[in-house]
Amino acid sequence: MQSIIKVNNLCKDYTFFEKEEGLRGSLRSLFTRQMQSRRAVDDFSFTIDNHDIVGLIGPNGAGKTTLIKMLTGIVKPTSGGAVVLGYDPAHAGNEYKRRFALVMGQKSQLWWDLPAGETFRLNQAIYQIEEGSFLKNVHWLTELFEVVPFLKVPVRQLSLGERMKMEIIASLLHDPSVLFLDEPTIGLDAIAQRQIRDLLRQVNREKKVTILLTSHYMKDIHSLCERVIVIRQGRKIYDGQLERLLEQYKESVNIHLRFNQPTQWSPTFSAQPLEMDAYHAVYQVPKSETQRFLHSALTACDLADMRVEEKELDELVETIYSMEGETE
Amino acid sequence: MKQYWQVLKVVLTSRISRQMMYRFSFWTAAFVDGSLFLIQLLTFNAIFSQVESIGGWQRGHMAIFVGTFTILDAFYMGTYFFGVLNLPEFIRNGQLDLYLVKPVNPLFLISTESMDLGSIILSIPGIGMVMWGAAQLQLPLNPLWILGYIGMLLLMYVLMYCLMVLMRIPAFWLVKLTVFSNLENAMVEFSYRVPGVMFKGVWKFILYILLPYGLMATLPTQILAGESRWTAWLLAGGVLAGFWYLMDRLWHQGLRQYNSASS
Repeated sequence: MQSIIKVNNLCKDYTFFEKEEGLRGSLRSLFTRQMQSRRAVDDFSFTIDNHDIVGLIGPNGAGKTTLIKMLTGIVKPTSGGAVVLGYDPAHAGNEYKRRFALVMGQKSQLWWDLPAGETFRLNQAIYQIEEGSFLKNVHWLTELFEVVPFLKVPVRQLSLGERMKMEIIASLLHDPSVLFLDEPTIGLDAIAQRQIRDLLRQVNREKKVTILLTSHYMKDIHSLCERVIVIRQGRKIYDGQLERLLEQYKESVNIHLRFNQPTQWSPTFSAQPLEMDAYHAVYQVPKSETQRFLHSALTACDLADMRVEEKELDELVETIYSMEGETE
Repeated sequence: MKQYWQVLKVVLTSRISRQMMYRFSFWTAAFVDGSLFLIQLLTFNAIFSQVESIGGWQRGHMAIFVGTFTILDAFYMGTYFFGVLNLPEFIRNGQLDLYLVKPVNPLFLISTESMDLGSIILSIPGIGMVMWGAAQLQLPLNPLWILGYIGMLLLMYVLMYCLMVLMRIPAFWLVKLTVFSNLENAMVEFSYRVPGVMFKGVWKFILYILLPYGLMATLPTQILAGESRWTAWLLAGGVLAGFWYLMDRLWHQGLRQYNSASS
């Protein structure tokens, strides 16, 4: 499979100045400023093959959006480089811009006071889409996204979910080869999130669009992406199959214990206490030790209740984000 | 070029349909601008009830001057004014991102997409006033003179655009631009009332070259009145070329260091 996104040692530094609190700090900053530099993306490399859907995940401020902004040419890298569809985004012109699309969950390209169809027409003019192809795409996408009844409704009167569907349609009208999605389901309810995921999967399958997706909702990532890239503090800490990553961290379970009387019990083997008070305790226990742990707890404590729980997807990811070093 | 015409056509059509949907806004813009025109007319009458001429200009010149400024004001308010006004906010909140990824000049798109066509209606009394002034001066108008006047008006329309954008580009580096918008308001208001022929020496240099608001209605008036023909064209062309170059350089400089807002 041909790689259409190649990122090599990409770095981005942001500079800012520090200001001390209060009036004295403000006065001092008028004359002397302590400039600071923060590395938002650090020595980042990866490739993405044609037609893939890849998830870019990481905690807030990890550098996901900055990375997407560099790949779309919005911000320039401090060092390193990228090649997308054969173009260097930092210096590419309109030819490159005609080949990709960007959807940002927190920013809208739609004209607020007018029906979305007006923005579609604007995009037709901007991307010079031939009338036949434009009508065909509008028809296919609005049917697929089930928004035909809302085509004549001003955007301001649409629900968030309907609006996001319109955003995605507007960005797909020119048949982009690569679609960058930055938090496309942010703020949407569970049903709308699922619809958007299903639609993106269908668009990827039928239009052969390569998708790079960032999302805080692990369900988006889990249902759309076989491969994920995990970014933390600007550095890549994992790049590979999502399932393999999750398996690594599913090696422990959480065991909840409730006691009939105040208890202070310390298991003698490798169980990590997560929460503990007189009547209640939660331990993280390696899967292989579960049976031994339960036997020991039943023998040593007067138990009112016990529960074994596998980690939720979000919890697993939280663990991954907090791990030190690179994940293999 | 075809692409830009098509974008402009779509923007125009959609803005018209928007303004038809929100009829009140349409008439509000015309009403507000109309009131400003009336105030200007009253000032004009008050001045000429006391004096015979201003800086060598008679009542007819001043009528052309005020009418020209009204036409200019109507057209820039009706086309790029509200779009350019959005520029600092787009830079600050990162909305500019979505314009930068489109295969079209982002400044063109931002400038045109908030057209407020209601304001253009005000050019009608402006044209009336220019015609009245020309009649007062008994100008031997021919198509070439009128074309020259329209051409100069167009140059001033573009120069006004450059100045507006230049006053907002600092948003790439600064958080607050109040001082720039205050300066701009003061300059526009001043040059709306005082014709450039009144400026001498260093003031003329400032208001013709450094902050060329003084040229806006003065040069088209001089062209229509048949005064200083070639010098006016040279001055207008030179100043416009300089400010266009400056705007272009600073805009690209700003984009190079644009970091966008975090989302």
